Amino acid sequence: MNDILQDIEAKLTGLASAPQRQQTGVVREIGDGVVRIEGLSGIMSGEMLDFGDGVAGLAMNLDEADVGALVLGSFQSVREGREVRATGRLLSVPVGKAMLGRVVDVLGRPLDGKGPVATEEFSPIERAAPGIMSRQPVSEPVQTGIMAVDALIPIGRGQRELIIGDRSTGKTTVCLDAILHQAELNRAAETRGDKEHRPLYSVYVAVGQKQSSVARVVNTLEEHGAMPYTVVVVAGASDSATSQYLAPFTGTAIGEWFRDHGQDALVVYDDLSKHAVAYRQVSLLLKRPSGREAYPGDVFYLHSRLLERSARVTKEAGGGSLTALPVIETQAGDISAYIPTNVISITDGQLFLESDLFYQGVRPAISVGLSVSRVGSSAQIKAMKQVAGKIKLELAQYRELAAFSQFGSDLDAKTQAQLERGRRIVELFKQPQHEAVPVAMQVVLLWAVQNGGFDGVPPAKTTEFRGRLATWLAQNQAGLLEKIRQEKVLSEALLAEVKKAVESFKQLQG
Amino acid sequence: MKHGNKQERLQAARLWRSCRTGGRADLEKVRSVLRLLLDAEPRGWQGIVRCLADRLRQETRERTAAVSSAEPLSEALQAEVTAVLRRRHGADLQTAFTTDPALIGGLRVRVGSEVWDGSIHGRLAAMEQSM
Repeated sequence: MNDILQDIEAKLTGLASAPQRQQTGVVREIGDGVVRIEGLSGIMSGEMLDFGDGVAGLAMNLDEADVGALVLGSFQSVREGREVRATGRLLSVPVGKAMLGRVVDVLGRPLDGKGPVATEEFSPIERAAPGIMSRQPVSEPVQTGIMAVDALIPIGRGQRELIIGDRSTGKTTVCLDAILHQAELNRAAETRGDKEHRPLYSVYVAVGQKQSSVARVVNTLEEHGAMPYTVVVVAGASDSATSQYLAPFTGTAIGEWFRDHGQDALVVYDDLSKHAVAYRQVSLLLKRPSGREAYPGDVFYLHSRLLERSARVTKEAGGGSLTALPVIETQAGDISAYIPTNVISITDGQLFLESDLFYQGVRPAISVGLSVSRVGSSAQIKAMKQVAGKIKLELAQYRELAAFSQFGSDLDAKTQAQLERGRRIVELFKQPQHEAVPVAMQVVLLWAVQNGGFDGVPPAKTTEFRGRLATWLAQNQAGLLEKIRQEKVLSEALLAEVKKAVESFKQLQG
Repeated sequence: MKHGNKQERLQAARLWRSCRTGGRADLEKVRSVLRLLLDAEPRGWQGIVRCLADRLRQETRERTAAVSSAEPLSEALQAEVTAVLRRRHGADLQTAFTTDPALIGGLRVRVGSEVWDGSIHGRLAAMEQSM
């Protein structure tokens, strides 16, 4: 009781000593969440404004006589003639481990009804990206649990991999699967008491999405127990364009906390095409000059400064990493449109999802030819490199052969075998959603498909056969899988064991 | 809020710059510019005059200290406040005294966009925020 009184006394004496100095201005014009303010002569760009009644703003355009600003959140109560105060702070959001498990809005205010976020730390949403000296090359993998990704287009910690494709080709599902698998791995390491494992936390940023879609995502995360390792930042379709424009930066600020505190995080921006549209709206309302497709001139810089903040940093700079999975929606598969080409050139590779493949039943519908990972195999464990090395080539050869063989009916045995193997690999990479395959299992399956383990199985039955093999391996060969996971390389002895396991399964099947 | 088209605004800015001496607007010059404008009525003169008026209004606001208090201040106190403010903001600062009972006590001084709030009301509001 006494210390509370002392606290109040101290506060009161502190207040009484000096008058408050403030920068103020007057709202002269307001429309669509954009205000022009007279006054505020000493304001910073990107400074937070206080409109009173808990309404915040962001100074964007600093002109000679007035300031163009954005209202964050509801702007119904802001009227012409109202006094605006400068806060002297850059727009900041709460960050820290306490954010995990929460669903928050663009200012970090909880939306999930679980009470206030228990964190004292704040971080500005716009920050400079780490420089050259504080960066480290990407060398540790992000295990997505999706075979096609982990084997062919590996993603490393600190990488930026674009997920691009038409509407409903499974872009969100790929990201969600990656998040769910991280949670699975984190939990498994916790129960093992594994100190070696570096947990990967996830930030999911929903930009301009239907509230129902966001609810479904949150529900999936909760069902699979991934929420304790995930932060969800929501700026829905009904939120203001300002919120949608700022949400990815909020997500990055939250992810950066992990990067700077020696931990790893994964941030998913779903999606950046809506983000660009929101920024276009804001820019046009601020009367900034427009360029191609009416996007403002700095739409490239908008995305590059956002994605440059994802990096793997040296020990001196924190020693963590921030991996980014930006999502871009294309129109009719056109990856050469304005925003897609921009983001493709910024990122370290892209996963291209094709609707044709999706409707053929190849799910995830990853187009192996058009997808690349510029970081590549340095983000794979050695065992995966050993088995996945040839697969991409084989798939490419298969596609070429498949195109030819449509015309000719008589094929020699060698070609037929190659075609069959290709078909099998395609079948192998089909994977139902939210069913991650651990990396050790992937290694054994990929080894099996290349070394005759699947021979004699008709291509149409491959998925079923694979399922049976996986279940059998998990039940009877858990020791072998664990050994691969720990050693991370297929030594001679381990290879022999894998061979023996696959053969004994084939014998069982007769 | 913005008056005139781009051309007019640019012209007004040029005229305004020519009316300034030592970082302040020279009222004599402004008056003669206005007289010339109103006599000659060049193309777009209305927009230019409106822009100049805006600038003049802003200049006045920056050179006037609006002092509000809960009770009317005595003459001596007014002189003292004016002297203190002039020492800080220059000798040509004008002062305008108003009363606002909502302040409860203390002073609130506004010069341009800068506000010094030493009123009880301001302190209460600050305390409410910090709690």
